[in-house]
Amino acid sequence: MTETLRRQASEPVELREAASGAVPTASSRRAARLWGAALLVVVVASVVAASWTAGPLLRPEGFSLVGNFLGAALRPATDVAFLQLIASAAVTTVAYAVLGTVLSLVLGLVGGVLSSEVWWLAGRHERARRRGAAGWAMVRGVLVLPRAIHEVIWGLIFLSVLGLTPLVAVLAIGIPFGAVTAKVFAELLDETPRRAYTAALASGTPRLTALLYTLMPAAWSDLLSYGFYRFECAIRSAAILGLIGAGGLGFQLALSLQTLNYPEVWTALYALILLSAATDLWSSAVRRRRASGAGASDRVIGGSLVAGAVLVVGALWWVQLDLAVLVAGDTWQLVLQILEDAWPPGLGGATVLGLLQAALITVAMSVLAIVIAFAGASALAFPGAAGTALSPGRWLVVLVTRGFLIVLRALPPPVWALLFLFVMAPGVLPGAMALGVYTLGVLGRLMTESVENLDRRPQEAMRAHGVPRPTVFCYAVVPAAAPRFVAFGLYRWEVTIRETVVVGVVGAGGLGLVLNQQLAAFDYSAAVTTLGVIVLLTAMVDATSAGVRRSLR
Amino acid sequence: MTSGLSGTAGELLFAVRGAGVRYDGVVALEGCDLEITAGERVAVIGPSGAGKSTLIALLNGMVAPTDGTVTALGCDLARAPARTARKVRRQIGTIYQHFDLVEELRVVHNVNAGRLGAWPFWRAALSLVRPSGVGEVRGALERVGIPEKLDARTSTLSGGQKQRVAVAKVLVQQPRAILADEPIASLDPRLGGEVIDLLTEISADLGTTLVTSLHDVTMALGRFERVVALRAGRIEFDRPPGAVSSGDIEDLYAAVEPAS
Ligand SMILES: Nc1ncnc2c1ncn2[C@@H]1O[C@H](COP(=O)(O)OP(=O)(O)O)[C@@H](O)[C@H]1O
Ligand SMILES: [Mg+2]
Repeated sequence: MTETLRRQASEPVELREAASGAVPTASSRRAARLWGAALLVVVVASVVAASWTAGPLLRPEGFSLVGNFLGAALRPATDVAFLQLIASAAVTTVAYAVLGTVLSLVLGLVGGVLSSEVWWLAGRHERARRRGAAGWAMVRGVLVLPRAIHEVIWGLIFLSVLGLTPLVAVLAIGIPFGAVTAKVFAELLDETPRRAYTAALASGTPRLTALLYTLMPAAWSDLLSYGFYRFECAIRSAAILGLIGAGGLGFQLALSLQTLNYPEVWTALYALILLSAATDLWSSAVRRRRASGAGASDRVIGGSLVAGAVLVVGALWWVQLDLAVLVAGDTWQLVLQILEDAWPPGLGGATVLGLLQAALITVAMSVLAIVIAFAGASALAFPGAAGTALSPGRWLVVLVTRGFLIVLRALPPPVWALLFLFVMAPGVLPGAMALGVYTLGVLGRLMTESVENLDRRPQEAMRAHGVPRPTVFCYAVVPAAAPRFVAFGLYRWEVTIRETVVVGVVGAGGLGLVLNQQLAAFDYSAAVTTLGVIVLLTAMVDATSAGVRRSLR
Repeated sequence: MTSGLSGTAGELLFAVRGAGVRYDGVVALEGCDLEITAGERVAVIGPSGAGKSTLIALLNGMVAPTDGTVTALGCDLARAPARTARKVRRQIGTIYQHFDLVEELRVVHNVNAGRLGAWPFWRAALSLVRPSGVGEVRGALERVGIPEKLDARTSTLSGGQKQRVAVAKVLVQQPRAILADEPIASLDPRLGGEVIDLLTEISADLGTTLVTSLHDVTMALGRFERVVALRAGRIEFDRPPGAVSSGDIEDLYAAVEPAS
């Protein structure tokens, strides 16, 4: 019992909720059928919407370009000057990710306490509880906005206010990640047993001190291990932010892509894949150790903490954050100017119908992407899962599958989109495929881990009765894995709708494209409207996904 | 410990007047009148669900009465401003059945948790890095018989040791009253007897008032000078153990009880 609790506690909390087991009942089966039918309709509509373009979908002349591009994979640029450039860009990306993660942890710590139930409600009397409930609702409301807006949008906003400074990347990662971390940390605090906390309050201990002594000791190591997971995500975000001009590997990649220098592109891609694979491995090693109940005295965890501290200091030194811009009079004047322009929100060149259409395209893109990702990931999760006593051949399959998934998620969606744009007409489809392929990489890993964590006893019992392997797979493995797969898929759909913005930025259409054009034209009042639509859409997808998950439980 | 702790004998510490507590319609206590003066040692007995825990929580102000009033050290904790209430609560130490220690912390921090009310935040935070006031903590742990556990992780302690840490925590708090809610319910009888002896000794030595709810009637009758009996949320009787007959006890526990 404690073992499973511990294990679960090591998974990111947002996933934990997604994966909590489902026992189908008659009514939930009926609900599932209904949702299934609705899903089919939505998927078909999305396919129709996405493939409805004026011209042909494919660009045959692009295939020779792809040939050139793939051919360059074997001869990446290796001249010393360029390698040095890439190395320094990689360090910059890591530094952004590190500082962004640190900022998100600080914001998450403060925001988590302030958005936890225990802070506002535990150990209070009736009257104070009512006031506490109001405060609690307010803080949670405030945190919704930064969470709904993607890092790239934050990046574009900060870019227009602060100009090109490393601070842009750090803030763009730190703020949305901080809001997510706050939610996760609040849940951790609320799940920690409260008796010691209320006992401390009973002896007249101030709230903050009581929290520090009674709730933090249990929650902080989970927060740190979650921090490593966030760092892994931050590396990818830092790369994407590079593409919009914030510097680092993404920026080098964009430059090489623009000049069609494929050998250089490949060098940058290899660097990105290496970086992403390394952080993936590091983060999952730390979380696996935590899962087995190890604390800070463990070699891997202790070493990782020290390494983390070194990274923070190194990143500060490398980036030379100039905080002066934050307090500069010019900056604030610009902020005021922008706010003045932005209020009241307007439509600019857009029309209500146009916005609605862009919103529909955005939803269609996210649905297609998640369908692609779900189909691919559930097919690859089984070959990718390592069990006990594997034959060498089976090991090879595991390694190849995992390597493939790592590559898929190492390249940020905009890069995939640019690659698809070689051979496809610009539009929703290449955007959806780019998001789908990237999400396949992420989802594949989550599903692989969940297959590895399945209870093996039912399968072994069947095998012992002489049931053939394929039958065991259908009767014992698939039914156990399916509810988790669906939950992970829904959770990733929520993430994907936010990420449609990212491929929109490179021209794949939808609200992201609209927003990017408005920001580029300094039409802030229209941008606010578009942002509002994005936030609304995100909230609707979150609510739908939560509804489906509840009905499946 | 300092001698200034003992109150003037006869000073009124707790006054419960016509107090009742309802939880969403469930009546936990009703029409309770009780006065406890400085230096008294009171046992609260009664079947499970009778309202013992609720009574203890009324005394330290963690539950507000839905009827009547409760004052602790002259202060109405349910109505007082938060700051005043906190000051009064520092004078009241409470020990719970489940110890309510933080398993992840070392023993020294759990003991120090007893006096966090008197420390500013920065001192409390620093103390987690470099324990503050270790001398007093060691003294308290010696008093409860486990000085060697100062640096141990609390999760490695046995049940009896944990309850001793809980007592040590109240000792460093230097309260004027110690409340204990079934402090020995999860210990075996021998260990339980030792912990109760420890509490009554401390109370006698320092003149601290002691109010303990107990499941074990013999323990209550044998080691306390006053017994308050609760049944179905009402005070059934309130007298010295010598005046409690075995018939009283039978009546108290025989009655049909609402399940709790
Ligand atoms: N937080 C609560 N919410 C609802 N009912 C409660 C709560 N705490 C106690 N009760 C009810 O109040 C009554 C008295 O409980 P309690 O004071 O815990 O009794 P005891 O400690 O003597 O077992 C019981 O019927 C119990 O179910
Ligand atoms: Mg009780």
